[in-house]
Amino acid sequence: MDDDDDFDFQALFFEECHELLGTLQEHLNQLADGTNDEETVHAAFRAVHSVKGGAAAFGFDQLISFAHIFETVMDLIRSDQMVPTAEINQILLRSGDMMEVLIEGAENGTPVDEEKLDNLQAELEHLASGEAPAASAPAAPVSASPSPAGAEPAVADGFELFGGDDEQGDDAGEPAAEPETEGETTREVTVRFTPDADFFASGHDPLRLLRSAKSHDLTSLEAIGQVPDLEAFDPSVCALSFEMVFQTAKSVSELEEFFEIYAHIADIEFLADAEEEDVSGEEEAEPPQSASVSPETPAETASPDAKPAPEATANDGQAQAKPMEAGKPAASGGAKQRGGPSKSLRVELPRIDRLVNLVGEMLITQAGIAQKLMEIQAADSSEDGMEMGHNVEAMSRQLRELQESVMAIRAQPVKSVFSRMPRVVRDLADKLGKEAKLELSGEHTEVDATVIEELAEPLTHMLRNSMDHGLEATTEDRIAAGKSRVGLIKLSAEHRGERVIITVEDDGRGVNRERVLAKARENNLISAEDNLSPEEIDMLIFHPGFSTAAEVSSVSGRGVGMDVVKKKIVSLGGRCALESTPGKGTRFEITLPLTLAVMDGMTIVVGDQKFILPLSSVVEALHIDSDALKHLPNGETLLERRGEFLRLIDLRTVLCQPTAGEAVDMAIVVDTETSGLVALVVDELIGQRQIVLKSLEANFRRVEGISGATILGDGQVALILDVPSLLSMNGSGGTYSEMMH
Amino acid sequence: MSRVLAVDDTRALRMMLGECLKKGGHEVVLAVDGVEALDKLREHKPDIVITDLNMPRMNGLDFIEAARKEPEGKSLPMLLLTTETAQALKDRAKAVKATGWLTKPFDPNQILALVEQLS
Repeated sequence: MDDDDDFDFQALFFEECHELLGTLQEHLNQLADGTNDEETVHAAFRAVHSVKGGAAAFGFDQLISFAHIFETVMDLIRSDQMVPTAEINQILLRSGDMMEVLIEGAENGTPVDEEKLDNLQAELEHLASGEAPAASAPAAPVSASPSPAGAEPAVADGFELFGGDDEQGDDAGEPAAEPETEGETTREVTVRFTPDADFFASGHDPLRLLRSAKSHDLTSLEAIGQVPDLEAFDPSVCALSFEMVFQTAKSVSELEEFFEIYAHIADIEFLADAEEEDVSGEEEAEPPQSASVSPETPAETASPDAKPAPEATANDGQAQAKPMEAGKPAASGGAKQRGGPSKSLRVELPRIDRLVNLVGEMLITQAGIAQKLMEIQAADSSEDGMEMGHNVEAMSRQLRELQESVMAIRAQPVKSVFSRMPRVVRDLADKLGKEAKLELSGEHTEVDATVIEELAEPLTHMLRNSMDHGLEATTEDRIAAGKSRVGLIKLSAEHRGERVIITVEDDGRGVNRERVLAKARENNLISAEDNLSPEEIDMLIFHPGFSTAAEVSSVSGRGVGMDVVKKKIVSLGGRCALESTPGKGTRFEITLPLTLAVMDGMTIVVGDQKFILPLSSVVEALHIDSDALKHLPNGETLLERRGEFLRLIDLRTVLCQPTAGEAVDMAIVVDTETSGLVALVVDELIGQRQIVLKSLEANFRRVEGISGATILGDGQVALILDVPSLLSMNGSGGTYSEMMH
Repeated sequence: MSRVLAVDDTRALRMMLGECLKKGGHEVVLAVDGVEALDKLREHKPDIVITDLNMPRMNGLDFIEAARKEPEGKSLPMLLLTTETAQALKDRAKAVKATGWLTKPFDPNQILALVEQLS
């Protein structure tokens, strides 16, 4: 294999590692949570094992030896030789984190904290030795690095075959390393080969052996041994033995290697000349060099009088936050997810993107055909036109199905992102000295892969914010407030129409509005006279550069805060909302489109332009009766609709379109999610259609109130309105003309 | 050229093994665990099997044991390719009549040589 291929496999390996890490973390968390069933333990064990296997293939030594000892401990739990106590679980959780660090190290060359690694490895070895960790128990010596021999056998270089019975040990592959070739001279080596009774049954075939032996310079062959009487003859047993003579320039070890695969199933005698025989005899007699320590007893190397490791493990549970609680998922809902791999095919995202794009283009073309056909039909209502209409309709249905199928390929459960979050919370709990637990729900909510990829960063920020600013500063504060010691953070996902809603909710102290106000005034974000509602104050924390932490904390300070979240979410076509109750907690809600590629839209005419409203937000279209209009003193107009009053927004004004008189004839009621129902005045309603979103940013720049553009069937470009942001523009006094000019 | 059934639950390793065998001119059938491997065994009648040991649903040892009971697997060379080293497992491998035991990391050339040799 050449290097290129190696590189590809590595990338693949790392990709898989990240999935395995997710599985590992998830199951370790469940374990810590008290779910101690076979499946959970086994799944965690296998994740570690798979990483080790891959690491071994690529020779990531640090990762291999750590995974090995980790796996050994998991195996003890799996085989009920060790009961995972809270302390053990805590070590396991940290080991899971260490795996991630090591994988990242192997992947990106990021530095690994060697001391931490050594300590943790020592703790695991200590566990593997069968002693439960205790505060006073001496951990294995820190000086045990480089990794103790106990971790080595699994990683011994090269290639290993059945080590016969015992004397050949595990290192049968070793002789390959010995340079025995004496120039180009050939030697004669005779091998007596006596297969066991099981030889055939184990899938071996003497004929194949002999055929292959020819390529190792087999020059003559003699069948020896007794063929039994016909009555006693059992055709499933190989009765023959062979004496094979090789005239070869190859070393004896090469020949030995050739025969190694048969070592467990045949008696192999090397009858070379005396000198050679001695050499090989010595090899056989030598005890295996590195294989003596079996995985079950790797901690033998840790000396009993070792000094305690600097970070004793057990006191963590007492004085500090309990990280294993922090990582506790709410429900073990996803436990079965990776039970059995389903038949699947891995495809690179760009290929699917191309497919999505193509389907999008086809939808546009189809819309064009449909429109043209309507014009033709209007002019000439012939049978042919009718028939063609049916066909076009069928095609449109099929196209829609095609498009849904293509989109379904990209849909993934948010779990891949969610499962990383318990660790984030755990780390933060450690760092901040707070006690917190994270509850996950709706992990199986499926979202387009393009959206999932972008979620991790904002989610992490939101959790940081909740941990750092949301939860009370100390446990004492929580108790004083009449709350449980452990702070609760809930992370959930759900579908709502064409969007996915992700919430992060904490039961902390809520937004400190006084401080936010003070800070905002200090930073001149608002003036002293501004009289803001509590909700408006809360929203200030999304303002760029806003950070309320009195001192810049290492966790969420430095002004990299919620504004980053908002920016990210908005760039994905989503929105952020915040609800806070002082003393009770804070709830962030982000709303995202399920996909960033296609949507259903309603085409409307405002002034002399066509616009698209996302169909998901449209509630109804209605004709306006002038009696239903109520004018408020502040200039706003309300529309009465079946007994309730809706804010009436004239899109012609907002979009600065010429109004054909003041006549207000038609309105579309939309649900804005953030500001409830609103009625929008439009000039004309054309109909609904599927539209392919084209980003404005890619070609132009982001425009407030516009979420993108699409190409209509007649080739015209129409802008897609983002109603909530239009409204906030309208509310803040801005108009579209300001944005355009 | 042989038809090789390669079984490993780790995608990267499975594909790497597959690629290595393909480069050696072999036809490759891949399976993710013992259960799938049994199906593929019956369906494709391979000339040789290389299987991982630790896998979900059905591990390599159980797979070999089951495969030996199938007509297609009765005298089929079936190699274990694993990071395991415990003697107890090797004994078990012998008991279920595995053809051989290879230790990861594997050397592609040696894998190819073995496939030549055994199939």
